[in-house]
Amino acid sequence: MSKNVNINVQHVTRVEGHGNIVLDVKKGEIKKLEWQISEAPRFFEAMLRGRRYDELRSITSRICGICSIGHSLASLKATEDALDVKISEQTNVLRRLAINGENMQSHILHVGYLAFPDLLKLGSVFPLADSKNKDALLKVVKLHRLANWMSDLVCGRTTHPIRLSIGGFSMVPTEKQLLELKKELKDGLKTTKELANFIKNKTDGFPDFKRETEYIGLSSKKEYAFYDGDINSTDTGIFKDYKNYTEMIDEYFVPQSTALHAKHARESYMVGALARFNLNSKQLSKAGKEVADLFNLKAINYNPFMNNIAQLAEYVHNVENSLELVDILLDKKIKDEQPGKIKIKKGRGVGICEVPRGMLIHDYTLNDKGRCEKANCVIPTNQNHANIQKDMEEFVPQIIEKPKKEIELNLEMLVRAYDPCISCSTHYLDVKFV
Amino acid sequence: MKKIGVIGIGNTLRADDGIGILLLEKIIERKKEFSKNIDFIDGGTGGISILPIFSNYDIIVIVDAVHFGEKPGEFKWFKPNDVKSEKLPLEFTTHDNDFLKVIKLSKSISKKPKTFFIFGIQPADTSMRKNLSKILKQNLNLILDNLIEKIKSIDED
Repeated sequence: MSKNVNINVQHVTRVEGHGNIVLDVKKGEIKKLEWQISEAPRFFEAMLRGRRYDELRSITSRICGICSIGHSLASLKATEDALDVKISEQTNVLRRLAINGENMQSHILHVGYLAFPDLLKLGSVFPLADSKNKDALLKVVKLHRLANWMSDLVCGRTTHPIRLSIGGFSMVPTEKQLLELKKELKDGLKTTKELANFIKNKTDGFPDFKRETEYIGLSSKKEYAFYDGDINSTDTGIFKDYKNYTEMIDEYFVPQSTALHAKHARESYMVGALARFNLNSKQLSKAGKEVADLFNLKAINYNPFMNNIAQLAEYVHNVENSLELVDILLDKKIKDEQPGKIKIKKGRGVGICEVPRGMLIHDYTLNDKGRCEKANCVIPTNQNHANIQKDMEEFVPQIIEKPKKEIELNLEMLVRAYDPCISCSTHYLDVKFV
Repeated sequence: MKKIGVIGIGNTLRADDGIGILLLEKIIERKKEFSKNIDFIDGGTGGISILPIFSNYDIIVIVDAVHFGEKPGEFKWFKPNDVKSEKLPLEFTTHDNDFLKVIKLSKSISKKPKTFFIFGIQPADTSMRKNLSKILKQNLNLILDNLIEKIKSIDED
């Protein structure tokens, strides 16, 4: 191997925010290989300091346009933990439905609009609309609409929910709406299976790459965990002491990046759909398992590209699980509930749930007036950066003999497989009149 | 009766970037002044996540912070064909917020909506803070009046 390769991808496409790939190979030897984050830090925790306990959810829901329900739920769980607020069984079921809605929204966006064009070698989603594959794109839009509608029905809005509140919901869906949702979910289940078969038949699959790593996520004895569970690791097992999560998750800075990196039992670990699948695949719903089987996805799978397939399997799981949750709400006659009175007190609370890109932690310390004195948010994408770097280091020697363009594409696809959200915020449009 | 969707886009944690959401909230307070065929939608940070909303409407009005090289606080009405994006050609992201691309995709898969209007406000500051810049705060009522007047005229047309 005596090749020279110089790759400098500024701003990897189809990922959110600014991430760069730098590869310098001289005479076959890797001189530099870095996954760099150049995004400016956003200081969300600083924005929470001094805010009242009942403002924290609405502020954190604006951290991300995709994970606004997940941030809301982690925030509510942390606040309720600090103030010892208990929730009803109905609220618990509705929150599970809300988190399913968000996971469905985010996964279909990523698989349908971003990863699917890679598999079809189309470069972007636009050629999909103009090609013989338009029917598949329409299926994606239909499933996206279902997820948006469900989130709207449960949370009052498609994004940035307004009905989720401390101790409960300010408004709940009617029985009629739930019956309508049930009908649409059944239809969605059929469409997702069709889409999965279409993807399977139309593509050659993902690169055959494997690297053993640690997978971390929530696990529960009751179900495939999203809303609640204990922190679990494929290396070290269950960690029950959730308030001391920093003993398990070691966040640190690296010179090449403005974003935090994280590690636990090894140099890096992965969170997200593949991590959840690897930890909890036995609890996946029947149709979820069928989709996983269709693509030969079995736990433990060490191919990060299969995160896309785990997302597709989870979408189906979320639909089936939502059907069960809707039945519970209908059987128990859904009704308006008044959340109990909140007693303000000093304390610390930690809220953890699984959001589309992995385990999300909110940690608040409130003073005796109910104002936030200290906050920490552990974001899934930050937990994945080190793992992306380690994957690249192992992947590059395996593809180094390929043409430069192909190496570049493979590395970009690797990053995209993690569905990273480097910045979720600034968005103004920059235009020139013509 | 034609259906109109007014979508506010922005992030209220990034100063003037949140102007679209703040204007939407102010309009919702005066919702009674508008016909029932108009929906007001918080599009959050927008991007491709708002794509499925479009085809529910005959006309879409997008309200957002837009860099068009004028003084902060200036505002403009335009249609997608009046402009070209100056953003890097980054393709889509899950929450890439160049809605011109989302409009393009929408047109290729659905006949509705037939018309898009964009109400752009030139921001002064999009850094990480919760409040609008002084100049946008000063101009807020003027911007709101113009927006309301135009929405009503689109409805009456």
